[in-house]
Amino acid sequence: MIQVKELVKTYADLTAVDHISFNVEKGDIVGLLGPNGAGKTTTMKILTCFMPATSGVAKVAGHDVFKESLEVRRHIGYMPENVPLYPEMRVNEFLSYRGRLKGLKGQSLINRMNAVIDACELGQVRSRIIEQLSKGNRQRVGLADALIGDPDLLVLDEPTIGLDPNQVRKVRELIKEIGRDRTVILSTHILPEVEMVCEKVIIMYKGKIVAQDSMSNLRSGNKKRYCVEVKAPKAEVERALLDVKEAYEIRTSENEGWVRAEMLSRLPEENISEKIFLVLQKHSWPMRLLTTKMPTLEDIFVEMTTKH
Amino acid sequence: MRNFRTLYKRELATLYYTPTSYVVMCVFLIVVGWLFWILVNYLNAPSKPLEANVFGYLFGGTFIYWMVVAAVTSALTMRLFSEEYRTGTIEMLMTTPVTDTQVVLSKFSAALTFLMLMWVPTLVYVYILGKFTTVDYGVVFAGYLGTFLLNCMLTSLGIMISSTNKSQFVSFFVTFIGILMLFSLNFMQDVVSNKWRVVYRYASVLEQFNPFTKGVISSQSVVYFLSITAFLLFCTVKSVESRKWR
Ligand SMILES: Nc1ncnc2c1ncn2[C@@H]1O[C@H](COP(=O)(O)OP(=O)(O)OP(=O)(O)O)[C@@H](O)[C@H]1O
Ligand SMILES: [Mg+2]
Repeated sequence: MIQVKELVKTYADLTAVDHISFNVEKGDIVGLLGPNGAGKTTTMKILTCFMPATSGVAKVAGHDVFKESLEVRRHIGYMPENVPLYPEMRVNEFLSYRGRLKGLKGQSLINRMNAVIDACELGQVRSRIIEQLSKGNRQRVGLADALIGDPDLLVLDEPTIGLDPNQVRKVRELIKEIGRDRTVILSTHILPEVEMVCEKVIIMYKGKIVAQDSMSNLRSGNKKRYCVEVKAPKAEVERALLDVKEAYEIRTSENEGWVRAEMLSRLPEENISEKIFLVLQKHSWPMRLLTTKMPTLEDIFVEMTTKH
Repeated sequence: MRNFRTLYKRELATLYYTPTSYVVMCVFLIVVGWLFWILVNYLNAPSKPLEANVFGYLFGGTFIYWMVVAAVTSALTMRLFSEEYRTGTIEMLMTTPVTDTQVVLSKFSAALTFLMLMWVPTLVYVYILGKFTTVDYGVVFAGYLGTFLLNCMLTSLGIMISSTNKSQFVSFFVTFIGILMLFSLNFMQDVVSNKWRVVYRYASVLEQFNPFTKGVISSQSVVYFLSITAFLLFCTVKSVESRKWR
């Protein structure tokens, strides 16, 4: 659905997107992650034909975003970052206007309007003026606008910020639902959301892609972490763990006298739980947990976007 | 064409809902009403000889008229693009399958329609005049045609300037000054050298507009207004496109 090759975008003296390449298959739900200023919004603006890239190629549904921009725009439903809307219009006026621009008319326009108003739960406010809506409701109008053309590709820039928890959940369900037969690319800073919704993840950092893979590959490809909890002074635990030669990146935290230590192993093939146990046993501290866990997306995100 | 209609309708509706438009319309009608009153008084004074060009007073015969035209046009065109840039709605607009040209032409047509609708009530004055004296409808027609052409040009100037920046105020100010400068060319031609006088004379809006108020439709003037309008609209499309290269 999307092919991006060696895409570059420079603003004056700043390279916001730096030679990125990725592909998105039809039907994928892709999470575009990265710290502030990583270039997520810029990438989306290029994909939606709002501005051209400095160099490189991007294709949506087989059409070049620059040369066949109109054709590309027919395939896309886009929800920009701050959800700009016309404040003086009423919700249904606005959606009808947007639907027409996206090529709908007559009964099919009315049907689509009802469908998106339903899906985004805008029924209560459909004849209110947009200016007077709450932020969350405006957000929903933006989402309804992205959906109204029944696009093959949905591009959502931080779709759930400003929504209440119930609504966040609904939007996630909605995105999953759409993702069954459509392609979705969304950016967000809420990592658990990505774990719940997305099948594929692209992590950007300083304009470059530092990781892109399916959710499961990404997690199993990254090293598992060892966790241990003992009752002892924190400093002493830290000192004791230095004896475990294979462990590195040891992070400790304390809670009600129990110290939790998390670490990575230099020997990926071998299980070092035993070594950790033997070292700590010497001190005869009470121990209530010794386990390994798969890294969360947050662990991966932090690892990918703090080093380099 | 469907896109154009959709865009045009929204633009017109927005002009209709914006409070600025009503202020502008009121000021306009007050000033034109006042000019009409002066005109009636003039016709009532039997001592003065009746000229053919009484309608010059209604169409561009006075300084206040030009000030009002400049202000009205600037006020109605200032937000066309600037507001879209400022609020970011341009991003939403330009990512739907519409062309830049459709967007520019629809905004232009909507503003022009609104401006011309403001002139409709003035037909009442013409009707009233017709009750009391003999009105040369040829002159009236030429006056309205001239007004239409003039508004085309000034609206295209306003929309062009609005497309270059995101501040309504800057757009208003620059358009207003720009229009006054165009008018001033007429007065300046007396102080510049002979070589330049021809240029100033041809470029002067007043010079091109005057024949219409006398009932003369000169093809040179029609070409002048239409070609400048087309050129400015072309510049607007380029300016809207240029967002991509900034
Ligand atoms: N119009 C612009 N002119 C100049 N620089 C810009 C412009 N837009 C963005 N940038 C810069 O480009 C870089 C990438 O910005 P972008 O908005 O793509 O980041 P992002 O990943 O969406 O961040 P966030 O998570 O904060 O939304 C930033 O350093 C930003 O300052
Ligand atoms: Mg962003």
